[in-house]
Amino acid sequence: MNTYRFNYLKVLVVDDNRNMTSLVSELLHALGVGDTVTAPNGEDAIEKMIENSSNPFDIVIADLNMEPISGAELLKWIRRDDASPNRFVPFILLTGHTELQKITTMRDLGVTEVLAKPISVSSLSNRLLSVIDRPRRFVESSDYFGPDRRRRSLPFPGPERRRSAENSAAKR
Amino acid sequence: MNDKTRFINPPNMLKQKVGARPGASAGQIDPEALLRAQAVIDSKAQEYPEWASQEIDKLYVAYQECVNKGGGAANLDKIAGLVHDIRGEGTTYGYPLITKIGTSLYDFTQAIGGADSAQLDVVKAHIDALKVIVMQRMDGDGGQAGAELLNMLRLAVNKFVAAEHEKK
Repeated sequence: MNTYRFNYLKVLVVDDNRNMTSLVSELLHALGVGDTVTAPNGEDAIEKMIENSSNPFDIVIADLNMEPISGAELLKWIRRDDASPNRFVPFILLTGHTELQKITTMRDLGVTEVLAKPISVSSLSNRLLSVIDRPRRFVESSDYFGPDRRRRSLPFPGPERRRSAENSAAKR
Repeated sequence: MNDKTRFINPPNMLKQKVGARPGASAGQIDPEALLRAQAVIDSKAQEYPEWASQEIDKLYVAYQECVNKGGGAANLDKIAGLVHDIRGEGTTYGYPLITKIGTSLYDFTQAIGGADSAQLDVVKAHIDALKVIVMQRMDGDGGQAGAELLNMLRLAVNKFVAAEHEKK
């Protein structure tokens, strides 16, 4: 199996708990990630993303509850704001709030993966491999921009009304 | 889904950056790197009880403020915020009991609107339990003592949460 090298990866870690940003960035460093930047809240994260727009982050790992800008607001900015340097960047939600309602809200804002606290080497590694090996296509609609929320390919009994760029091109 | 919905397949730059072979479906992380990462956690776990103890002391301060101010919801929120961070770390460093009892306290603060003196006793019992666990280095499931601690707190919480439901 192909062994990945993470030395060219650049990851932004956002959490208001300094113990957590320290732990995650040290783990990423140990896993070989070349560049890890931390931010204590969504506001600082946005500033860092804009500052780094010429060489944008490859992955964002962010907590949910932060002041003054939360993880949800940060994700919304990343996916929908014109100033966002990379609207497609994988966003791994790092949270102890795993209640279905909160996860559903984040899913509808375009979250890529959820990494539940308390974390482990295994859970962090699995999320990294997931965003690398199993990226989902993006869906753009009037009220959503983000990874396809349908993770499984189940047969749908009705007509396919969703259009892909390829399908659209073929019809033209 | 309306007619304006469309799919986009962004190029997978991550795969290129990590050196994935073209066409390969999945890769792995260097096992040596995984061991290095585990060593980071093991090293921090040595210091964990000391720093967790400091975080639990902040809980005592927040609890006392809550008592002084009559158990208001805003003061409970402070306790909830602190214990949310504590519960999010325990299992990582080999103290799942911290996570379980922290979660029990967090859920309790969410289930009650404000706390009367009896409910504040339940809050304090949780904080005391957390302190005992770190002082006595009760890692893992804490054995028989850990199970008894959890059960005692569960009974206390259930009593008040059931009463809260009846009020609604």
